Amino acid sequence: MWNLTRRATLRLAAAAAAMLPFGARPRAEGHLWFGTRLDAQGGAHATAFDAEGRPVIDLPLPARGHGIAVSPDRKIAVVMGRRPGRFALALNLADGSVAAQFAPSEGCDFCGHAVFSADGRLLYATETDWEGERGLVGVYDAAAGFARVAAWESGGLDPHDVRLLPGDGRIVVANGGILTHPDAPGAKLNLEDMDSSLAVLSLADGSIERHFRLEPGLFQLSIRHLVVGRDGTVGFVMQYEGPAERLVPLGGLLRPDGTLQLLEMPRDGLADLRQYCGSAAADAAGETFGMTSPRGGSAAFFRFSDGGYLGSRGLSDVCAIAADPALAGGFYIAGGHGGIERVSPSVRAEVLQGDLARTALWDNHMALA
Amino acid sequence: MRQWFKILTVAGLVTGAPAAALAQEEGEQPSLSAQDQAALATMNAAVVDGHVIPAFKAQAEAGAALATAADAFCKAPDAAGLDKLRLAFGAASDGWQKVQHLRFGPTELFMRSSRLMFWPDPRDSVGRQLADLLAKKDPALFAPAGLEQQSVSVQGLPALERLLYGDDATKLLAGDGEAKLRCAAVAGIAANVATVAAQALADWTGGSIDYEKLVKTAGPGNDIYRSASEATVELFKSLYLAVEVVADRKLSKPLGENAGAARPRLLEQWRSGRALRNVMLDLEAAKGLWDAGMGSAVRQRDGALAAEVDKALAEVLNAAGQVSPPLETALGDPARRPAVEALVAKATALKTLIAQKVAPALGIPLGFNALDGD
Repeated sequence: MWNLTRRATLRLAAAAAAMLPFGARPRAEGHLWFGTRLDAQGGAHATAFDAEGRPVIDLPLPARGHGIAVSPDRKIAVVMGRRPGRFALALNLADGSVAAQFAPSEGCDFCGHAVFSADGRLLYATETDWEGERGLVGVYDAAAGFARVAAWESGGLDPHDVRLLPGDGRIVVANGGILTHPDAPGAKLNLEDMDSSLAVLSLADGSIERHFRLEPGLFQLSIRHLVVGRDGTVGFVMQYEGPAERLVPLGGLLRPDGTLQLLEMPRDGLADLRQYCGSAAADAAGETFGMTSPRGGSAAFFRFSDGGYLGSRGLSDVCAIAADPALAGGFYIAGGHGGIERVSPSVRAEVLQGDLARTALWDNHMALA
Repeated sequence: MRQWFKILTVAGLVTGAPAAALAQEEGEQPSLSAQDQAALATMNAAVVDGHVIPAFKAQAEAGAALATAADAFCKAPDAAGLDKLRLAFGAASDGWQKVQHLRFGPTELFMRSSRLMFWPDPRDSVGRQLADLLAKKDPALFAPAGLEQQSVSVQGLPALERLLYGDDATKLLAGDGEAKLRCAAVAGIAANVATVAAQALADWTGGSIDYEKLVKTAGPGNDIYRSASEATVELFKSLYLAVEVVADRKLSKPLGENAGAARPRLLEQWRSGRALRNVMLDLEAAKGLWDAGMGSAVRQRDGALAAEVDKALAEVLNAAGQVSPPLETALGDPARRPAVEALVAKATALKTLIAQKVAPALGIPLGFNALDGD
């Protein structure tokens, strides 16, 4: 597979400086939106743009990227390889240079998501240990070139998204519960007895403090993506592996007191999500969140406080979503058929212009930096 | 079937606000005009009539012939009979391969796709389950009532392939109790393949499910497909899948990193040597679906794109034809391996083209996020 070498690191760093195909300009002050994209040949890139959609960083990736973890000081973004992930790439946001590259441990693959500790010193990444058929959270030391310093059991198979809970004492992990195998790309091997869960882990020792499952009748819902609201409420977003004809909720809330609530929405809006949500993001204030369905080309928005449905916006093959601090309750969404839009549940505020915004095809996730 | 309809009618598991209570903010999504929807409805019907139904008919016929051949073999097992049975197995296998991309509706009801073709099987569920079942030495376990209680992995073509082509296949001809038991397994599994294939066809063409009608009556009032474009999504996904299995699933892992690291036993149906043929059938199915109507629908909207897809389909089929069989040995043969790698590259290019360009041309939202999400 793709081996981590110093030479490759240098080559990528050089490429970062050289490859700005959309006529980039230096980073403007303020925020960046960091995502991954595919080109017309299917090649993958890590790409960051500014508030106007102008490219700031654009770097070829060895394979499709997935989640992006941004350090609390907004200096580093770590692009995780898509599951089964063989690489992670830490970039300096100031200049797009490569700070570090690292690979999963022998026998493990990355599952696509990671999150920094509140002090930025550690990175927690979801992983699969194939031999042991178990999910892990790998703990990486940022100061040591992202060396793995610990690995904890995630509490289930197929751990996917991971988020920090307020207070830096705990993380929440979405165990998707779907069994896969490295020799069988694309195959889901346990749809008849899959077991998805939400696990809250202590960062002191990795112990599972709390573990949540949906009711047995919903066992074919795979909990995969997470957002955290201002009060520590976790929004979880799911895909359904059951019969195509069945309409089931695709989002839920986990309150700090341990209460679970499934999200209700109008039937047509739910049907538009086509049993699958692929990404989610909280707004800048942590009061609302959006969850996206590329299958339906639809993003649906909810309140953290009571789970209330706020509305939906359409964009073809939309998955990537991140907060827009300049728009109350607002988000940037980006589509797999191209297009970056600033939206809120009530308005489509802006369709971004420029080459990148018009032509780039956006992959699953995007992070605000 | 009743169970399935129950699912249809009680789909309102989510209670929540009635649709009217909250306005949907979908207004600015480029929605399709009535004329666009009508064009898609025409296309859907053409693809169902010209591609889907004929493929399920062929599968059902091949399944019935397989069951007949298995019964004939078991009445007087001999080498010539086994050869005939293997031919019937090959035809039934081809039948499955021609519908394997149509993974919606009847194919997915009652786990039919897994029961017919449990593949990939990286944990050797087929081998383990079949060995366990044979060890019980009870032919009744392979009779219809017995077999449907067993793991899906022993109900279909992969288990049959083991019996007909595995190391122990000669035991079918030993004339002893073990031969009788194995014959019961062959006949029982063949009968199950016939039944499942017949049921899939029946659900497409009538009865209480009548999926053909469901697709053709897409629109308001149709619980499954609220518009023609929602049914088009299924056919589009089928086109994509027929190519994607070749690009991503069936060849990349067997190829390995290099000739020395090739793993031919990860090929589909390597025991019966059908892997290359299967890949060819998958690509022909993609072309069949395209030629049955999707291509002309795209051509009306974007002639250049349709020509691009025509060319890419021809190229990938040509690339498949360039692989010198058997594929099982080509993977590790430095002289023949590049043709396999070229085939994967062509399939990947076509897959990318379909995801990035064909869906928008048809006005449906599926791209690589929807088709290959996580």
